[in-house]
Amino acid sequence: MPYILNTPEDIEKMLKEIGLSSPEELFNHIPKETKIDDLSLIPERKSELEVSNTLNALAKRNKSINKLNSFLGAGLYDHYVPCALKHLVYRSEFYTSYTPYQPECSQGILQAIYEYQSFICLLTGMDVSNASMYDGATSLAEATSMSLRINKKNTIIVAKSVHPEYREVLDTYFKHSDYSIIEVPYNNDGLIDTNALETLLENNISCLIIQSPNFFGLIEDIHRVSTMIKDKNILLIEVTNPMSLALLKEPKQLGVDIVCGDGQPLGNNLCFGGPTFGFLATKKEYLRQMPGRIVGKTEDSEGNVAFCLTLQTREQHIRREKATSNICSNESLNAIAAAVYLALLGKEGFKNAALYSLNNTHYLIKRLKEIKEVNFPFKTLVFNEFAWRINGAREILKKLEEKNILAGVILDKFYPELKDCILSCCTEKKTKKEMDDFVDTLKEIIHG
Amino acid sequence: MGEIKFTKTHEWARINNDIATAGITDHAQSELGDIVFVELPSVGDEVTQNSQCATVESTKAASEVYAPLSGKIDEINEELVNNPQLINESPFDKGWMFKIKIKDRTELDNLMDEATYKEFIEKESH
Repeated sequence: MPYILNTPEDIEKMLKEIGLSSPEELFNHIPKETKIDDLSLIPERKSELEVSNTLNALAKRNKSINKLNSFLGAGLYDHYVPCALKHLVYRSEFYTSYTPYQPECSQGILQAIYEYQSFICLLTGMDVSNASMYDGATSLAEATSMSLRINKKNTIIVAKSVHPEYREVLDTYFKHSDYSIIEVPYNNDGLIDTNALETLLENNISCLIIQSPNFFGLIEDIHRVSTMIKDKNILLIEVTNPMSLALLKEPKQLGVDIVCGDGQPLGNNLCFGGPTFGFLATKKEYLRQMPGRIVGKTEDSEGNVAFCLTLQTREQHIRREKATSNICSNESLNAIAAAVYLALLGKEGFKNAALYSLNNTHYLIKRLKEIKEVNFPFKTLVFNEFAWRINGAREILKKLEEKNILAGVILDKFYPELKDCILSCCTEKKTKKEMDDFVDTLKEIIHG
Repeated sequence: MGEIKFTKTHEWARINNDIATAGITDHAQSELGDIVFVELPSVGDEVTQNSQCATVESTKAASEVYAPLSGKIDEINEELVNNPQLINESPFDKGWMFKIKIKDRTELDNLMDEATYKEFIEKESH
């Protein structure tokens, strides 16, 4: 972008044109008390070296996840990202390109997105995936909009065991509309309360949203739920952790209509909580109601393989207010990282990463069971995270943090009834020593 | 063959007793280009004159189709689901989209006859 300078003469000319005498008059409508005239709080100019030193000093105050023993999960997971990924994804052809608006001359990026979509279809068993969405929460909200368009009904049922922040985004999308959202409680096992669900299945229900593994890490009986709503013209939307799909049945096989979630576990670092990307996949029959971009594989005029952005007539730049969504974009770079990650790990490697996460989690559960002050609010049929309870949880988390152990996320922040409960997670990165250190330190804290 | 009437939004309706068969005009299909997908209303849907009740999607655009008359959808052309190009090939015959059980015959006065429609598209294209 060119730098356009305004000479004092230019400024004077422009002011004269609009009938003002000074640039300050342009801001007259801003209340005086909200303006700051005293600029002495802003430091003097600094050299590049000085700025670099200042920022480095600030950065040093951060504690990197690599220097801490972290068991944080609850939506974002610290899986190992192979070194080669960075070198492929950080090619400028990938990281400088925005969602292609002149798509057909960007064959490389289209192919990369196409590979991503193919991976998502493989993992979920679905027929079609879009090119990605902003994050897990928006992918859920968009899946829900999709359902409302498909069967034109007006009530959304969501399990209370779905990520609380996703439910907040859902609220933001729909609370000022004609749609209503009903929450289904979880039962004593931490799973969707099917008895309560049964009583809610009325004519006006558009979709049922369930998460598995759910927010407490527990694996839901999706098949049972899908059987309950069968023949009722209710769509089943599943939020899932893509990593868990290395081990669990494909959502489509279980009767899910739309599957979505956050793709972060696939080759994306934690990065202070973002950016991540959302994935969304569905059955072919709902293709035209799917939001966002889709890359298709086709042939050019000479019969060569070519990639294109397909079905764009659903999208906002063509269909205006009738578009499936006002998300016309995607998170290409993060989605490409996922494709590269899956390609680098391969089928076996990916399955192993998931298996080690599962094994580590169950090892940690076993070790925590040694402590008689620790108990578990639910059964522990979990993938990579679980809830546990200890008196004075907040205080204990703080003491562990002093020892550089991030033991987990406090649950009563989201579920007041789960007082003193902590959600902890293990990925394949956790070593036996790290897990033992956590448990031994916890014992020391409890027993003094 | 009954009397044929036209809307300003380029739908046609052929009136046979209390049933109106409807589709989009030859002019509309040629403006849209190759039609690749059609979304039809459901039998039993209540529609009102000039309200959106179907969608046609071409390689260029997705466009709304408006009900030429108020009434209940009596029948839809299932053939179009697998062969949407029938609208391009035969807009007034095999490419019909839905039939409406006419609710209010006075609404016919809001529609154009063939000669007026021809004049209308001529004017519109200038």
